[in-house]
Amino acid sequence: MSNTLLKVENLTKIFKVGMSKVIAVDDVSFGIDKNDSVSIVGESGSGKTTLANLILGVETLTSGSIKFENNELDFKNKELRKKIQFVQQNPLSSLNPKKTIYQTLELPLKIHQICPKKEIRDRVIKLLQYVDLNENYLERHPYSLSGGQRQRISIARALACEPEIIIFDEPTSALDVLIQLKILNLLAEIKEKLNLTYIFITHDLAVVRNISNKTIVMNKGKIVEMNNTKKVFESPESEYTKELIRSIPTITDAEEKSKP
Amino acid sequence: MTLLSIRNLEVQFKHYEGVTKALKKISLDIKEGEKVALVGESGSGKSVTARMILGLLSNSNIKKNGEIFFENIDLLKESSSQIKQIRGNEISMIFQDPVSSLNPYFTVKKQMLQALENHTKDYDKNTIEKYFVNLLKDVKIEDPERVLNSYAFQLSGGMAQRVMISMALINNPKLILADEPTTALDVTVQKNVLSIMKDVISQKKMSMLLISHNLGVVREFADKIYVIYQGRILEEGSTEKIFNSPGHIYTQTLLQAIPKINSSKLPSLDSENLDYLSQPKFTH
Repeated sequence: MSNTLLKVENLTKIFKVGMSKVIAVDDVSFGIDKNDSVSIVGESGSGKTTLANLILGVETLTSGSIKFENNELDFKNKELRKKIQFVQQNPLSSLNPKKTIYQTLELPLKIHQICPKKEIRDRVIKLLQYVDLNENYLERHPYSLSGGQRQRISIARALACEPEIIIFDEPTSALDVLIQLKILNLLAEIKEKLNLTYIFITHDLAVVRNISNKTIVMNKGKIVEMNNTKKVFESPESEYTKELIRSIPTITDAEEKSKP
Repeated sequence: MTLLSIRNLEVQFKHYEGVTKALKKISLDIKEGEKVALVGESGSGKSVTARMILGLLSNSNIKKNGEIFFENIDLLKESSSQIKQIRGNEISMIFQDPVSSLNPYFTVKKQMLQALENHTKDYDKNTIEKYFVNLLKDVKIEDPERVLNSYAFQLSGGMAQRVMISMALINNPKLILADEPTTALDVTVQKNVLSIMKDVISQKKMSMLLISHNLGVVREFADKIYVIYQGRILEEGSTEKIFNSPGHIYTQTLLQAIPKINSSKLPSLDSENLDYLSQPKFTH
């Protein structure tokens, strides 16, 4: 297909631990189209975070290939690298505590030379506006922000390089439900506005159902199910997916009935 | 029979910026054999409540008022040595992260022995191992002998949390406090641990106070629910009433805000940014 943005083929990652080997990602293939919102779900140890790290170039792959717009992803290539950005789970540990919000947000602009030096300040303010914050936050430090505000800063930082794809690793699992809803709504809004593609790595299946059009279920490094989200939830094929969905604690009887 | 009764409990923390009121006159009752849940967001005061019951918060910067009756003893007025006799013996606790609450230096067996010996020196050394094995069997651990001689790092998260539950059972407590006991676990493991906990509690006729932010977990587990927000209880009632006809606007908003697995759109709220504290407590 012509609009495939990211193509992963036969991707394998093996970690050597002492004398033994751990196959963290085992022969994984999938494609992501432009404007997709894809969720990769699975329990801890299923390899979903390793998969994200491989796409980001934080880990080097053992075999297989990752292609972005038909180009092999080479992480020494800054131009390609800035197209894929990352938002981590815990905003307090992923933001530098000694830097002000302005310093945090200007850094990617400088590294990737997104705009002329004179325009950096305006650009940073614009980034803050994307995430419903304003210039009053420029000189503040992460410790003086709430969890939701910190996560907004992480999102703004990911937007700085004008990426095509943003990978979110458990973006709301450190947040309360009311804040979670606000952040998820904000993400949907930004996606629409900037024409982005999202990859969510999460174990919260109810959130997955609400935010993504495609779902990939992983178990022990392998993809066990991959389909559009509605189908995965309404008629899951693999036993593992069924088990996962059955285990979700729900709050209404209607949800309980919809389980496979 | 009421086992634990908290009456108008107020807790204030003094610090360099002034005073933080963590709990503002909360009242809560747990009957014998009842599973009660305290639900709230971070910072609402739910963990402070559990720590007050166990007497784990006491220094000169903490001001407390009110009463916590446990079988007609006011825990707030007891001396610390008397509290020590109750803590771990009649009331025990399960924490969130099982791997970090187990001591990495000692085997499970050694730690179970310590929990026992803190309260009684008078036990039969020959049968004690059998007793521990049985406790581990109660929480559905399949190879209890191996687990007994394992260190924390040799156990998976779900396994370690089950060990913590069996350790909490050692002295046959009347009340177990569980602070987010399944938050660190995967959903399938969480389901398993919840049902094990539920079985053990009812089998041994104990009471439990479950502290959680996850309303789905609470719905599966508790008989009765207290909803706490910024140090105040905003709603109390049976689990069925809270979920089927929530009375307080805060509870209603919370229930709306949770993404549902049978809906493909994010939930929308009827109203946002409300002053939840302006509405009085709702009791079913």
